[in-house]
Amino acid sequence: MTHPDWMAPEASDGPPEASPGAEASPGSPGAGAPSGSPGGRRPGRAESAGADGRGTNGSSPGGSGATGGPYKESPQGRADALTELSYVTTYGEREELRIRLGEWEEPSQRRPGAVRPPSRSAPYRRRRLTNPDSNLDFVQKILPRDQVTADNCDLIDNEIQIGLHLLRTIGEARYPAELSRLVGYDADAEEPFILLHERGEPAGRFSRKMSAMKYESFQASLFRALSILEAAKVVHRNLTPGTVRWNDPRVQITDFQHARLTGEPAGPAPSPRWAAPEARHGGVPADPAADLWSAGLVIVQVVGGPLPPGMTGPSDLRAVGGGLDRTLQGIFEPTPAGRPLIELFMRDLRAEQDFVPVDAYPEPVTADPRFLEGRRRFAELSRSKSRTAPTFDPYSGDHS
Amino acid sequence: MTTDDGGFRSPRRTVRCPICLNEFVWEEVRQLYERVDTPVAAERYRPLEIPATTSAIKRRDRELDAWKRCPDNDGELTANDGSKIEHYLPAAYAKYGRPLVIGFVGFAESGKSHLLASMVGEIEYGRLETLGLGVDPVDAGVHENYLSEFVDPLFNDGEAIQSDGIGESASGAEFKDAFLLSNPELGVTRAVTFFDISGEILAEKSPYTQFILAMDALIFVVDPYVAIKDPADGSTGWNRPLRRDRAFATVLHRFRDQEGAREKPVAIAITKCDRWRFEQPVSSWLRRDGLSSYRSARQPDLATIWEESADAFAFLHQNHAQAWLRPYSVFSRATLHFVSATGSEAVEPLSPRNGDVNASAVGVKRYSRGVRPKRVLDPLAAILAMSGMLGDEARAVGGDFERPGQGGAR
Repeated sequence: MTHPDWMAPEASDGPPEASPGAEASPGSPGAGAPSGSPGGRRPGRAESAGADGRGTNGSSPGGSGATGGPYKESPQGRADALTELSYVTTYGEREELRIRLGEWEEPSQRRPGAVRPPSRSAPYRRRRLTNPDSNLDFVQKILPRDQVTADNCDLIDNEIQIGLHLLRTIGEARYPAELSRLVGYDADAEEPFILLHERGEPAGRFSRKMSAMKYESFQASLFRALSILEAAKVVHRNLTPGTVRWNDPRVQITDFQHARLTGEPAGPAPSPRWAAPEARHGGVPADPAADLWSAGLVIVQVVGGPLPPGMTGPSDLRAVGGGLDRTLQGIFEPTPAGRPLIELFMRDLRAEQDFVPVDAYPEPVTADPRFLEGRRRFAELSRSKSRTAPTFDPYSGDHS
Repeated sequence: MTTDDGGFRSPRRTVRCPICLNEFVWEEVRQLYERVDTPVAAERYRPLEIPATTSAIKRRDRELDAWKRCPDNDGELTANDGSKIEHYLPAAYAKYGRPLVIGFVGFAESGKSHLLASMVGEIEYGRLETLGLGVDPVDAGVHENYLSEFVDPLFNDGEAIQSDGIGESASGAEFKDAFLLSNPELGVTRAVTFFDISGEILAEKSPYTQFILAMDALIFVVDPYVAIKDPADGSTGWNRPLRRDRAFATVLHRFRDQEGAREKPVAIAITKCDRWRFEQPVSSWLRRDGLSSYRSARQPDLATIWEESADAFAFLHQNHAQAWLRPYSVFSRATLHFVSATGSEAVEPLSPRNGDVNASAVGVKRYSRGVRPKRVLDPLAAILAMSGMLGDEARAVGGDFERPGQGGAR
């Protein structure tokens, strides 16, 4: 039995090792260099796409009341207990799932007495769930009862909407491992929650712990993930070493609570330190080029170690090492239009075959025949009213 | 072509009362009344006595929130016991020219009260500044009462509005609140008045439903919980039960032989859309900021407004709610909107007071997620645009602006 990509059994979360026989880093000058880039400089997004006819890469704006608890048994029950979880599937149907509860994951270790830093993110609690029937693992992110506020509920609603959008746009069959996948949710529960397929460990844990070859894989996979998001018209807006996970040999982008559809108005970036300059204070439409900047910083941290406190951009990529001065060239241009197309980064990493073009996913279309009939009916009425006013009421039979 | 010059209100000094439909000369009614806070309806208004020696500045101040009693010359508006129903209008009602009277049509449980409260809350919050409009309550006392009775408990305490007694005034149309809207760019100031039109009284075919014709604009409130058949109910296909809205039907009946009146601006607001916030096309629209089509208020995004109307129409059509689409067919200029007055459903009954006088009332439902209105001002913006409050170009809202190549995308 074969599973879709997202259902693939989870790889070991342990520290990754270099694959034997891995090919050398594609670092030779000119290898995979973009054609037509003067002096080797990558053209920015606003510049001509070049002879290969690349487009703009999509940065233009585009467009039950369940009141009881979702558990048959207490959710506070001991770990490993079997219980039934009531949730809403991504098809909008309520289902029950037999699950084994895992332990709550505690936030990363903090010094005793240290104050939790201010955050614009929802204060989720996380734990792993296992369905013993399918042996599949899920992550459950719960909004604790005392954190159920309008702002936090907006964030969880947004994460569900973006998750559904990604599924609908990309399709289940070809949903990529590079993005966490929404499995279900209950936004109206006393403690709203979402269920996700999530893999790997936060990329920050692998800082300076990968081989050179893995660094290249990490970058190539992250750029592929960005190309998928751009094609799906989603801007993540909060790429950090915590929301980008590493599941050798692929990254997985998670946590879409702050994501916007491309072109939607966007508020201040939730993690200003990792945000592109134009996104830090908000007020500009969501643009995939902002994710590119943040991804660059994540790569810098993974390759070169934690960024110095207060640092919001790289000082000298050559000093970081790992060939980043070449592979990330142009990624920290101050304006979004100056940052190169994702495809160019992937070409330099010899990973262009994994690039997902911006037109890969057609706009999802509502196929329900009655909905389409309603649209046609509306258009006819609208036209008829513009021709003859006052109008004709087909229900009462009145002509005027 | 517009209601501004339409036939239900004579120009200049003569005003048609929105409640009894009688016309009277505004300035000829000189006696002013002040409204007092008493549960006895008959004692709610008392003559405003201002000594002759009072200075002009003090006089103007006291008259600011005064009321006038409609003379109701033919006295047709009577209660069940035959007594005349006295009714009053804010003194500022016609002070700045012809007011724009907007009637909210729907049943008590339709979400109408919450929609109106959320609209007033958003107006109070200054959201109409997006349209370049200055806002001032017509009557500070009435506005304050409305805020403290409906808006504050909803927004501050998350308490659902109890429908008992709401929208059931004897006349069927109940004055709720009014604002003076000024558009400095156009040099226009106009009173905009909100009337709650009781679906229950309309459904009883009360003889007093004539006030419908005096409204300058109507907002039909569609309760999707009633209009949309839940597939889980099991009745599908040929035996689908016929559903209709008697309030809508009564209103539309009133317009049968009133062809000129069919040019009144109309907005159809599908309330409680948070229930469908994860489903298309509702999700796409609720994600958008309210009034996003009016960033350039004098030149609204007509194609996007048309798109929302088309999707909302198709959404109701898809769910076999044709009866709720009739206003779109009847009125020549109409828009449809997805709105959520509260952002979520009120589900959690409060615990009994247990002797705590400060506790909320027993049985009051509560919005445990807090209240977060979505797009509640868009129907009002459409009405204001169609009425000329946003300039001549914006009057085209509600017309045919199909964007080529569209048709059910998303």
